[in-house]
Amino acid sequence: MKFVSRRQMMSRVATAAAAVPFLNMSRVYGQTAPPKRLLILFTPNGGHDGRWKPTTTGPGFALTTQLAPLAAVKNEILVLSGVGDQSVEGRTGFGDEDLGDKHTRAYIHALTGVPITADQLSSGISVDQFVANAIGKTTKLRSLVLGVAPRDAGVGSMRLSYAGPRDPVPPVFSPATAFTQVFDGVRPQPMGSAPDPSVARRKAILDYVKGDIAKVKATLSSEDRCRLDSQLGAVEQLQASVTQPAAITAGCQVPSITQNTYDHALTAAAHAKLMVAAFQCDLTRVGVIQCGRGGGGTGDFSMNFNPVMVNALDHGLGHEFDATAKAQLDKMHAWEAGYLASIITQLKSVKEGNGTLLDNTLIWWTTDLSVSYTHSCTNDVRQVLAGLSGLKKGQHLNMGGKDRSMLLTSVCQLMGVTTAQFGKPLSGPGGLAGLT
Amino acid sequence: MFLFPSWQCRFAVPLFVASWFATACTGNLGPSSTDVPTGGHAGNAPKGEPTSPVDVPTPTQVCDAKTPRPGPAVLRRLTRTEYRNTISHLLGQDAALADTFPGDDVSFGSFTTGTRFSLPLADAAMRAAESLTKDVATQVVAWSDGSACTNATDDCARKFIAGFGARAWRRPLVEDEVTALMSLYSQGKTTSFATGLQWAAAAILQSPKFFYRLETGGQALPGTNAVPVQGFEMASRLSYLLWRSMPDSQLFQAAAAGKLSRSEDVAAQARRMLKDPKAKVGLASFFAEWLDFEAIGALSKDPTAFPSFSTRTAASLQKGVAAFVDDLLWSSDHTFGSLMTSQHGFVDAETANIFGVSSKATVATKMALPTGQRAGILTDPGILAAHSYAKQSSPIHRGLFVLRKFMCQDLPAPPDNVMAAEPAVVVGLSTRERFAQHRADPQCAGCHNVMDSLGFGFEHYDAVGAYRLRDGNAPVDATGAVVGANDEGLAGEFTGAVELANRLAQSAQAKTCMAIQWFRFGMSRQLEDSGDDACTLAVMNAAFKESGFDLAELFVALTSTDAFRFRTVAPANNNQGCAQ
Repeated sequence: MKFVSRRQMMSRVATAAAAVPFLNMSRVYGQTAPPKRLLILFTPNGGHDGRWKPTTTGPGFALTTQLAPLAAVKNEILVLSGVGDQSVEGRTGFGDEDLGDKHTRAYIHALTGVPITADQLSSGISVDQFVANAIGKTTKLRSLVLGVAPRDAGVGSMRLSYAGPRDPVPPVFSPATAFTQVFDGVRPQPMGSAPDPSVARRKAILDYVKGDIAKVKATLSSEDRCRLDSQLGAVEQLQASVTQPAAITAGCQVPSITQNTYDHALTAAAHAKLMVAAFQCDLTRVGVIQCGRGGGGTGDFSMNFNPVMVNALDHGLGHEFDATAKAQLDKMHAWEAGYLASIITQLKSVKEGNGTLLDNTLIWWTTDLSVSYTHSCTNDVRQVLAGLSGLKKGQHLNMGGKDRSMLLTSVCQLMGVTTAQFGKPLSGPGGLAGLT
Repeated sequence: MFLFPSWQCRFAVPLFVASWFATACTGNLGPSSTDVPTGGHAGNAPKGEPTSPVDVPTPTQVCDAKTPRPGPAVLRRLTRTEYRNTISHLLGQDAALADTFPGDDVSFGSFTTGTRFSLPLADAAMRAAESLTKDVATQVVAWSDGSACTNATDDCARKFIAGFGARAWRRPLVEDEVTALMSLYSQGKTTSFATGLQWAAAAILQSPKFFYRLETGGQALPGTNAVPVQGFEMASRLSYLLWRSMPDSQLFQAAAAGKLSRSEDVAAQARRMLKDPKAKVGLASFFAEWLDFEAIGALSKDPTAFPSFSTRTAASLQKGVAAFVDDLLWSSDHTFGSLMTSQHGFVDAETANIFGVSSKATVATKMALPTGQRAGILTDPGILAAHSYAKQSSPIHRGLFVLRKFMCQDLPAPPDNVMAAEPAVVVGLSTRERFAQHRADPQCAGCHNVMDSLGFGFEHYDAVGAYRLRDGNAPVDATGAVVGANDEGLAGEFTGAVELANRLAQSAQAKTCMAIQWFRFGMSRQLEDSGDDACTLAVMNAAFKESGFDLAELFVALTSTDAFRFRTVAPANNNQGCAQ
């Protein structure tokens, strides 16, 4: 038998996609409502300080320099101020004050709302995985976590998404690798008469691997069993993704992703394209794009994030506050806003049901810190929601000093995933009022 | 009974030092970077108090061969590096696909550890296994170390599975395991014999028995909870320690013959292994991770201040420091003293200006450096450049680097809401003047007095690691001080990094720190506070000292310790859950 190389597979998919009219009627929305999607965009280290925040609230708010590139899609966004990570400041009783520095804590809290562990991981599941467990089990991939950085150091400040306690979901950094994971095995309609031999092979081998994991697990201590559980969970999801027949559906466009040399901006663009296609083709309903890391070394550009100025480190700049640094940071955060705008525009260009893919996608652009040079997180951590119809869009709302856990709860609720509270809220249970 | 060397008593009473720090360093401004997760010690320290200076356990017990105290064992998964090395020795192929694996966990600042799995890893591992095994039918003899035959028969397939499986899983397979893999082979064989072999081989390379270094054999010594690490498990402990790869056939034979149970047999194997070229790869990764060479290669500097510093310069600096280590271990005397005080550098045309010599070399070449300017790895320009800002040197980061990496001490994170700002570069002001605020502010002074005092000693080196005589409008002032050291010989004022490096080279604290770093790398954990590891450290320290502080002897010494030769019997399921 032959194993198909990625290049062969890509060319096959591309050829097939070009040759076959996309006529899978089962996936034409109209009769049934299209599914909801969640896309979390994370760019680290805040907006330098509070000057990202519009000075006026309500529908007539004016965009700031950092948010200016969102002008064309202003009616699709809901800007939230007055939401912060209250657990990071001082001794709030959150329980991890002594377990790590503020960069790491704020970064790991961002999507989890729970304390970090002594080994610099989350003690609980992140909101993307929580939502994915509820809405992602019928798609090829339960979730798609992508990263923008030329190298991955497995430190806590590069681990945003968690399948469970101390069980991080590392992002995929290479667009080509991510493309393979999303589109490998996705076949045009009608399904060909010859079944793909890789499906039977992978099913059998992964069944065998699952059996091995169970046998090994039985011989281990409880801590070590958790490690084998993480392998079991991963292999189960992998098996589902490579053995469930996934079809190229009506309107599904297989993108051409060829990005293979590293560049912040090009990689981010490739990830956005892939994410939109994965949503459009209904291969996943939950996505995360995380850029760089929280904090950073003095000179370690490789893990910092600054797509605008090659020689200026995001983290280092965040600790300066002269006029030059401010101007550079405004430019960088404006780039981030422009990136969000491009994602919004791409989602809006895809027709779905009676509307567009954007109407069915909740986008949440978030960060960890409010003031980077003091590592403050208390209030006005930049939050922008977008997309999903029903959201109160075209506005800037001040939430008046709420904990970000309430926003995590709101994200679940907006996605139709019922939960009374997510994480460990410090300003009370329940979600934020007035978002819809 | 093992006697503690007398000097170690100084480390046995860390409480005094810790309490000194607590008053000196309350509410300090610490490092602004998060590049160093501090691990358990920092985690356990109350906010505003420093961590224990050295993770040296207090010896509360007698070191006795009859009651080994191995401390906790960590279940380790092959890291990306280990996977790639293992595949290279197992299959004779380069597993470049390992580059698509997610990054491994990082502990104690920089050592990579494989722990859990994730979907991206399982996915990448599946694709790598498929790709690597596609030509298995032509490799049956090689991959099974000669134990298989080439006929397309079930008998030959069985021999291949048993032979290849034993190498991949680093121990012989039991009959049930061969049977289960034969069943997979049979399913694939409906297509072809080669397909059957591929299915079995790909499964072997995705099994937890390949990915995890499982240790489950043996019985606890009477009256203890210490289980001797069994032969094949010991073979893997040795090979991943010194080679970061799988055991070779000699280790497998020794394991099968029961010749890895006595301490002297293990040490003899370790000495043999250090002579093998594979040790070059393994030990290079220890230094690269300890001092984070990868960060050097990724450096960028302010183009206005340093117009000639390019990505090529950064890459050359990384190669230069790696070449320095390689030369130290394989062409020089591999002593701790040479590591700290060698006056040679590895220079090419890209880095010649920074080193202050002239060179047209295209590869890093050994050169004597200008007299009095450099001493050992501490003054390597790549290391210095990595602990600088883009425009200026950073006494903070350099001081913290020495503290963490060579003194095994740490400081707490900065307090809330301090202005953790890099001082602006003001023409005419020296670094010392620019950083004065840190020490003027009482909230910052405690920790900054420790960090900056150390770091100011490096002021002869600018942000790219080049030697300089002037800083701003004045001659460089490279006076510094070691504050809070646990070692009288190390403490006190000094002038310049060369003097500091020479002092560290003689320091008991620095030498113990070297042993501790090797332990952390080799065991994937910190030394235990409980005292379990006291004897382990004492064995390492004694051997290091006896050898005249020969790093090779330190590397071997770990293999003779309780922590390496035994494992604590796994506790019954305590239902702690996975969050703990």
